[in-house]
Amino acid sequence: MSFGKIRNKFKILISLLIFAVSLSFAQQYGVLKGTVTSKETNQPLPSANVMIKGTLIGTITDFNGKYSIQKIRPGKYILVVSMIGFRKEELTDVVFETGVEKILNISMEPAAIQVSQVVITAGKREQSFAEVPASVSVIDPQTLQRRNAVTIDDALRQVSGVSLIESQVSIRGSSGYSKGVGSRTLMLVDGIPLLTGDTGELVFESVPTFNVDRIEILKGAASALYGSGAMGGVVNVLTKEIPDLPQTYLRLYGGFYDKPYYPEWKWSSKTQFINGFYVSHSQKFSDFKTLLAISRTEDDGYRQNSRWQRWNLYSQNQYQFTPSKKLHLSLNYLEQRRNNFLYWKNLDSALIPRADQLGDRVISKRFSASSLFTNIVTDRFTYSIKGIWYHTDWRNDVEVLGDRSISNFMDAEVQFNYQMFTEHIFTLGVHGNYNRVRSDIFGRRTGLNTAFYLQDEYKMYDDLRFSFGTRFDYSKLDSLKSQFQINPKLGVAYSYDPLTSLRFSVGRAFRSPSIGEAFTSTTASNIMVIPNPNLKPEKSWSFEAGVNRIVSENINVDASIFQTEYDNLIEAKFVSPFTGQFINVTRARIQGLEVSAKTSFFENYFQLNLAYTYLKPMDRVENDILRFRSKHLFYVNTVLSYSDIDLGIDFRYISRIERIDKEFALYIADAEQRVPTYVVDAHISSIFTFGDVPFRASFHINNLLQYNYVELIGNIAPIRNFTLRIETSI
Amino acid sequence: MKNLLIVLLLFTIISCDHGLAPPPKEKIEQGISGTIYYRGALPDSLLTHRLIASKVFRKFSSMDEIISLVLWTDSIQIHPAITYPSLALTKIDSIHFKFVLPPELYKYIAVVQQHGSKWKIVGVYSSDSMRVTPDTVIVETGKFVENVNIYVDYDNLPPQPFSIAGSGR
Repeated sequence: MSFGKIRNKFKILISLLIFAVSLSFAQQYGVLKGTVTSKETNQPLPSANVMIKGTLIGTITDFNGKYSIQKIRPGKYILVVSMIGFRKEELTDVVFETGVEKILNISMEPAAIQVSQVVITAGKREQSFAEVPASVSVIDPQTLQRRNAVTIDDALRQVSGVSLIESQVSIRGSSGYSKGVGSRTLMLVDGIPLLTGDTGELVFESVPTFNVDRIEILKGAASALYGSGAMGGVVNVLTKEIPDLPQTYLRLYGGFYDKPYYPEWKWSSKTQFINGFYVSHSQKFSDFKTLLAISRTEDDGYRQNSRWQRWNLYSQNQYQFTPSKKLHLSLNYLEQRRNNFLYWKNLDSALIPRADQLGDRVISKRFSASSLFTNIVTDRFTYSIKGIWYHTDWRNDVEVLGDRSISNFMDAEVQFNYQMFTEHIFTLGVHGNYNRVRSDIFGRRTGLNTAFYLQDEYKMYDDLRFSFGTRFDYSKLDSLKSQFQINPKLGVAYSYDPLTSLRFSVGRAFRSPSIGEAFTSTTASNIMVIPNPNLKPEKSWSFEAGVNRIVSENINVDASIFQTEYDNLIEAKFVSPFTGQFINVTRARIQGLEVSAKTSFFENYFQLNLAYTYLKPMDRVENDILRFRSKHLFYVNTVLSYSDIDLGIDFRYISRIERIDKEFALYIADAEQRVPTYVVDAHISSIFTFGDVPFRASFHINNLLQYNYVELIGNIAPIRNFTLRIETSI
Repeated sequence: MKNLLIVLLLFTIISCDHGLAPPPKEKIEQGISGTIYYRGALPDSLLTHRLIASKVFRKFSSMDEIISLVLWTDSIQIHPAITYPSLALTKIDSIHFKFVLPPELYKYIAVVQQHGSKWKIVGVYSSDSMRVTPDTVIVETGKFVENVNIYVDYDNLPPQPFSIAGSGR
């Protein structure tokens, strides 16, 4: 098909869209306003989702529990109100008339099980849980509040099917370990990608945790909507709404590491401290809301030469042009100094690095500016425009080489949601990004990616929904051969009865190599890493089938089976005993099953969540297990709540990593020393008032039982540490 | 619920074993000890030196063959790095070492030098002045063979085990 014909068809499509929008404009609309409160306390509920079922419109309640929905076409609707920790309310036969403003106050009843009702990551729009054909986990605000997560990865460690090697996220075994380079998990902040331009890695420090409302984790391939990088899944961090009333928030925390369990490992007579503060202030000026924040966090490190210090400046702004049209702008600056502990000296001196690493450190500066414009044109047509500029600059003093890398990553996306009749909701968009890197390690490189995607969610019956989608990606990474990728997907969500939902999805995914994987040329710890200009994108087909059932008032169970077939999987590998390279190493297959249960007992005073994941990650060329993968993950979270006091204990078991590269033994003493992970974390929190000011104080003990293990070979994971946190909001 | 609590209790008990631990001190160790003496026009830095002790001695086809024997067999034992790239060799006359080895007859003990991915032999334990014939060492259980002294003479490097004698520089 010639370019001219494609252009003509595109014109017709746009014309139809404009025509449909014009028709919609020609009508008059109703308005819905009201307040959402708790039935138990009569207090307003901020951040509750209010959606008009069968349309694209909805909103979130503000700090005072108030909401307002514009542009409602006259007719009879079902209003759905949901919030984590509360029973979903469905108000039927809500009638809207032309030009009439309707007031509807809703009171919600606390629910025993903490199930998130609305997610937005799976379909790039708000969907109720039962509509989603893929597995999604949500870290809710209460869980985030309970844990003293300094960075997002601390919170991800308890999510079913997710494991981390240091800060590298692996969803259902999708990633091994490659020093963070080339992530198979796409990190989004409010739907906007946040991966570094040079190494393509997640930088968790760049996300201010105090301002996070919830985190959604979409498991499995999501390239059909998100493109390269979402091969293993998506982590979408959703920030809090800026409150309408002036608010100042302060969080202070301080703590220390315990002595190592074995006296032989003690390396300092001093105590190693942890401390930090966050201060933010938000204010509304007419239609403009702003939040400014500053934070400083510091950790002496439980190992020699592992101290770090961070400064973070953050600003979030929102301008409301009309009730249905708004612009968000976020600015974020992070400066970090971090000593570099690469590997232990040996197991005898597990908290001391080899002598040649002493004094190694990395200084990094990262700045991002992102914007999101949303417009609800009608109840059937919305669009958003989003973009980010992400600048990173780091240099290291590792092995006196003084490498430096500067990258600029720019990403823009325009997305349309259009509801045709009542059965079809289309999501379509254009997406592009550009990368520019100047680096001692990677050279001077550029990368370009453009894409177009389209998805149709077809509601065949009220209880049966299909989702078809595909994404076309064109990518050109510097001197590498350009690539054209088509990634289709199919999803089915079926509500068997009001308590049971079934899901099935199948899709193709791909990941273009990052600049770091294709062009790294460096030497570290006696290993030379050489570039690979012939690196190809990796591809996969994956499928999943799952069921979710509310077994009783107190028990919700979710189970799924999944399989992914990888082709041209990119892995870091030794090509000679002391030379490493990223290569398209293998065909691989990861099969598994995941079962999780959320339970609540004793009138919701005691909550117990369990999650088990079994993985069979096989290298089909070597007929052996894939490197740096575990077979079993088992997580347990318990919370005992009484009055204003919460006591929580979290446990995680990760079976021993089955296989590593044997060559590591050449330069890391005791490299084969690793064990299964059995870690217990505990925390207690309470709310009290001092004067008229409310405070929340919490005390955290991580690695309560002083279990010594490694996530990464030659690196003991954090030993027992204690933290006291106090926060207030006025 | 009761069963669940028992399972959780079991996991908690397992967690109490504290995982990784330093190797026990009372273990029986044996091996060799001695001093590496540096001579000649020493390179200033960016080198790593290790010791190897081989149960076999023959003409190896390449250094990679030696590394493969280190990795995949127990024919050749390797000591962690003795010198590091950041260590200025010019300021060093000698380094004492203690090399823990399984009890065995070792036919070839040498100092290997790494520069990036390039490796070569720079010192051989030998009483022969040309260091063509390596000395053998018998390591017995619980005993260290002392005075296994090795000379690294940059003006007169030993023959590589896989090349013609004298061309090792």
